[in-house]
Amino acid sequence: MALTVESRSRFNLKHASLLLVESGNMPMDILVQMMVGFGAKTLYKADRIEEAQTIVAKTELDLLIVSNRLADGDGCELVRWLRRASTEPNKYAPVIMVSGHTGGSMVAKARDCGAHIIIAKPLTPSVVLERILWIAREQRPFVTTPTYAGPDRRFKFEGPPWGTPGRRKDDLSGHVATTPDLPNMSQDQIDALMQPRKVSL
Amino acid sequence: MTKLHRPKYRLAELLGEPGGKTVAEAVKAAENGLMALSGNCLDFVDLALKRIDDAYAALPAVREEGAMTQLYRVADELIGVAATAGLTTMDRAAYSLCDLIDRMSGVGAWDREPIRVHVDALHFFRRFELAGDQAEIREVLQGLRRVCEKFCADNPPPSEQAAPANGPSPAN
Repeated sequence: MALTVESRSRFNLKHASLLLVESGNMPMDILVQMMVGFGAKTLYKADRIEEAQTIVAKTELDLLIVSNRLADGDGCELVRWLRRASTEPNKYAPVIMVSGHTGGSMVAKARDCGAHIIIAKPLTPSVVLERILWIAREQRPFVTTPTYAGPDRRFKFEGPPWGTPGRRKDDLSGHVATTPDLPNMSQDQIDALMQPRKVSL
Repeated sequence: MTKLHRPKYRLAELLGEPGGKTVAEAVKAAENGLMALSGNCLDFVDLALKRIDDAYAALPAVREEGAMTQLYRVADELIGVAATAGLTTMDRAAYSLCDLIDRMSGVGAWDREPIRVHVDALHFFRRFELAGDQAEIREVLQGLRRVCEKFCADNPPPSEQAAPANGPSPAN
């Protein structure tokens, strides 16, 4: 996610449709100023879950920025609904959750409701923009299970959760053969093999 | 049954369209927009402080979850807005107050004193942060940190309370 404010790379948010869901005028104004600064022209605003659901039902959205605390409930409820009950293509739309006080349980809750990423306030333009560009670049696959629907939470390529055999057919066994004549690869070397990328020099 | 699906993100295509802004231009424009909001943010902060005072005054002598939640919510609203108004230390103090109340809820403890210290600190930062002595501001922030550390040390989470240092005591 190396992005500096001096970066000369270009991006275009002009034709993207964004939904901002935030309670309170001031926190909403902060989001709006940021998105307008980034060049976004089509902004939908909602401060309640129901209002946001109505917009989602009527409009094709490219990005949602949702606060975890809304006037009528929890932003996670909205994201869970988006992933389960809304229709395509919005059910796969990228979601950034923003949060004031962000305890560990809040991060887990945001991850498990199907948000792409959570950003703790205070929001700064460089951090928010970096996350937007990262989400677009990564294009994480979507996972649907009886208990979860949302972007693949295993985006660090660390394999199945520790101590479990794995639930996917491509999960490998934890048993690894020994190669006494060869040195072990470092985790960085393994990660590089698992996720090859084009490097711009 | 786990289903893996690779949806097409329209956002990625749109971002790559010709035109637009460089990252530097976009960040600068957004920062300018936020700067234009700072006066309104200060008004919001003052209103929120008033509500924090009210919520603090309404705290009963004994622990009451509803009153704590109300104070937590108002302090949470300050986070982000105070920093946009240039009050970054105040923002951190509001975060610290939320952390403290969250901790109180988590361990089932209750103590008005560390809350009072936080409320006083919020007022201090509002009065002096924008034009104040940075060393004094840092000192007050460190004081808040110590208050929180002391509360946490005096009120460990239930799992730590339950774990005896030398294993279970022998049965009588």
